Amino acid sequence: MSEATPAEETTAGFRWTPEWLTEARSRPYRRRSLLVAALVAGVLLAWLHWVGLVLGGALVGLASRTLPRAVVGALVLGLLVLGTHVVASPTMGVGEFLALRPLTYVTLGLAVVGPVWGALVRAVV
Amino acid sequence: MSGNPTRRAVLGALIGAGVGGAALSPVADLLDTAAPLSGGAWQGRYGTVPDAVSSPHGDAAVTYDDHHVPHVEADTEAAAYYAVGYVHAADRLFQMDLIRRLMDGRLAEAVGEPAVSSDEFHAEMAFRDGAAASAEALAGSEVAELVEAYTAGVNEYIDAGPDPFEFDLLGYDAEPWSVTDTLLVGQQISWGLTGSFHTLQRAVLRDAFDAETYRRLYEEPFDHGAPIVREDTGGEIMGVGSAEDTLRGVDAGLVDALAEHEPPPRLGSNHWAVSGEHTASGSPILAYDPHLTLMAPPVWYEQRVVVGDVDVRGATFPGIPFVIVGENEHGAWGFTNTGADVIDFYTYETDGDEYLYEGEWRPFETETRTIRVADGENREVEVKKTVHGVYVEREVNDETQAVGVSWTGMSGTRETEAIYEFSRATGVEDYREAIQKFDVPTQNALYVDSDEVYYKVTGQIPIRRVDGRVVPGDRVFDGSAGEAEWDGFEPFGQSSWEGFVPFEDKPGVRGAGYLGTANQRPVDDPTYPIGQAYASGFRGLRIYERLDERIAAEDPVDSSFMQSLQRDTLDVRARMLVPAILEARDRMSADLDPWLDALAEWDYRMERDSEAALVFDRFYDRFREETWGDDFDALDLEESYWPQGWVLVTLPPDDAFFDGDRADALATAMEGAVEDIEREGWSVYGDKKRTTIDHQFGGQLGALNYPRYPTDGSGATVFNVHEGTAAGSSWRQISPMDGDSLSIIPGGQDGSYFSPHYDDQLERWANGEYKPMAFEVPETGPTISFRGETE
Repeated sequence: MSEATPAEETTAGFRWTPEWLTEARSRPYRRRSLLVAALVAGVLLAWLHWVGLVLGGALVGLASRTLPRAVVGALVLGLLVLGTHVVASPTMGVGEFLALRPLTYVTLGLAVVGPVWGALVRAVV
Repeated sequence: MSGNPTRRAVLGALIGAGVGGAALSPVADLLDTAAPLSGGAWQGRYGTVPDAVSSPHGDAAVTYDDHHVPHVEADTEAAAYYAVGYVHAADRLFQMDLIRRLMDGRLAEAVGEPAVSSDEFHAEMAFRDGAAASAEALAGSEVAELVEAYTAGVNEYIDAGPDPFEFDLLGYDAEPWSVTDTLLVGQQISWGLTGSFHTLQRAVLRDAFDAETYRRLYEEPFDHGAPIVREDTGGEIMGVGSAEDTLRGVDAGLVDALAEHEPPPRLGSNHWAVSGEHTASGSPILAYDPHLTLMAPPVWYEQRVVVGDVDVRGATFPGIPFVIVGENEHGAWGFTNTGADVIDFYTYETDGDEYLYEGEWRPFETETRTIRVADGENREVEVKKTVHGVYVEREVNDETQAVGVSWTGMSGTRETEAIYEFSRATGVEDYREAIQKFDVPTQNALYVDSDEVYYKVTGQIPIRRVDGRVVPGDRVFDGSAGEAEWDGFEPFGQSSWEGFVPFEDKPGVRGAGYLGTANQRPVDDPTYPIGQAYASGFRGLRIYERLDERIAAEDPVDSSFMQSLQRDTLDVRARMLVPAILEARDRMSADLDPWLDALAEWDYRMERDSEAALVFDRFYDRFREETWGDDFDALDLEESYWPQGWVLVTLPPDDAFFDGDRADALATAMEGAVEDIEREGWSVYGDKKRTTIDHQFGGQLGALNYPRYPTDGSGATVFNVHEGTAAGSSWRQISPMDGDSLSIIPGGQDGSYFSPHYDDQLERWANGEYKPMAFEVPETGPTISFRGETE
């Protein structure tokens, strides 16, 4: 994958990426702010429904400069969600959680696949 | 790629379709359950048990000790039992829910298709109606008010506390608890201890064998010479000295179909007590360990309740408010199963929806119940009742087979009142009064106060009369003729019990010097027939051996001795069989020499580091198979029909079941035992004998099962851990009347897998160790405060 350019964003006369987003991505401070906001929103959305993981991943993807960075950001979101999942429970330790196989395979898998799947939207927008 | 609008559109569509497809596919349920943060399985994990609770019954305080045993203090009993209900639910709600669902035939509604057959059986047995009859018997009493307070406490937790993990996993919410649910838990205990289709199995066996073979395999009293009450048992002995067939067409297939739902057959228990005459302190001591199913979480829940001048600590079944077995400042008590026959079977002449009873055609009382099935098709089951109880039907070989069942637990019973009164008993007299209300289950009650030891068989035992003669309930009776029916019994109503064995005529001893029970026959010569199936007596024999030896040596008994006896691992079966194995040594291959040498030097103790214990354990199973397997297979009778252990170890060497050559059977069994050991790679008994105590969902989530620890003992030793450790000592208690008491359960108090008290007692239990059973409120520890509501 190569980095997106303004020319690509307007291929065939259709603007896939809003101008403000293109600009935000190009400015490090704004991009980082957007990323942080996307990560926070992603954790909150994940608390509502598992589809929130995908939406969160998509937000992270949209705030990322490139698709590879979007995927890395999505993985960070997955880790954040998992961390919050364990920390938010006053009774569940990491070891106890991980021992609950095969249920935790689904939990861990979803924490990775959900945000990454959403982050693929970076290849679209 | 990103520059191509078509490809962008396709990719966008793929992303959306992936999410939509997952949401609409069968995998969505799994994602809804397991997703991080939002998953249903985790919702209960984000909350804690509320530790400030409003109570309509007044103030109460709960302080948990280091082992998560709640110490409940209150000014009124209602306030205390409201708090008890709350802590039971906080620690064991899922277990409570499973029990009520099991007994009510509503398990499939929670767990789905696999429970349908069990639900149909439990619905047909109308256990809920039996519980409702007991609720009616209890109504209006002081105890009823306390059970209602308990129920309110459970429901307060259901409303306010986090759901147990299992509810979240299965995706259903707990329904409100009721008084009848508490009595359903009581039904489960009673059915577990006295519900048996043994009578039908015996009838099958009578058909299968000639009269002489049947008699010697199943009817001869075991000649171990150690009934509970022996000839030289001191004190005032009661219930001794006599006062005064067939299958009836029931199909053997029906017997097998019903026996599928029989409680596990290995339930037994030990207790023994020594009077102050023989103890170092001069006060009596009680040791007790009931052998029930071992599971995660354990069947027992330990609690202490302090109200006014009552201070009681012991174990109960979650769902029942009061301490069932335990100790207060005046006495200590426990129960072992008597093995009394309190269930009968009847056949009827029938015509469609009617049955003949004493010359009159009567309609079956019928009710159609729906068995709801989670993720499956609901079923309907017809619950039928007769004058005697329920009428159970099964399709066997494309024919409808049926039998009437009468069980004492189908009536209104008063054991809940009795259990409540145990807590308040101030000595033998009070306890004796209380156990007269202990209608079910039939138990060997053993009680010590500061002065004496008291033993009594409790529970309602029917007297059957045929042609004016008292008969045992070991056959199927003619229900249409009203044969052998129980006078004063009202199924699903209130019984007068007038035709049952009077309290005074049940075996008992007051003022015994020492006495032990281990499910063996209570007395050699009971006034009325009690039962047909008693334990082989290996444990009972060993308990009396140790007690006799100690007391004959005039070595005063103390708590250490009682503990050592509760930890005794000598297997009497081994002591009876190993000499014969060694005699048959010349029939065995040289490969077996190391194992035979180990047996020759062995002290018959089933201990984890013993090679001999390992080979004997495997040998015994092989020897049973070798002796009974082919003969019973030829009769199409499965293992549950095989004779008991005492019959096996005392079978004459030239018996036909050995084909006249026991030495050959012993040698073959030894060869097989060593093959088993080599195949599995075991070296010592502890390699095989490990705790395997599992959770109901342990098959799906292995982490919920308890850890595996090596342990000792066998199903025939006083230190009781059955094959596979699925049953054994479910509670160990040592109660000196003048000293510190001890207890332990095989697991932990908290039913939550996430709690440090899920299995914190297990390793010590496996090692035969104890924890204190103290009567002091801990100074530190988690607390729950209940604040009385003001109007």
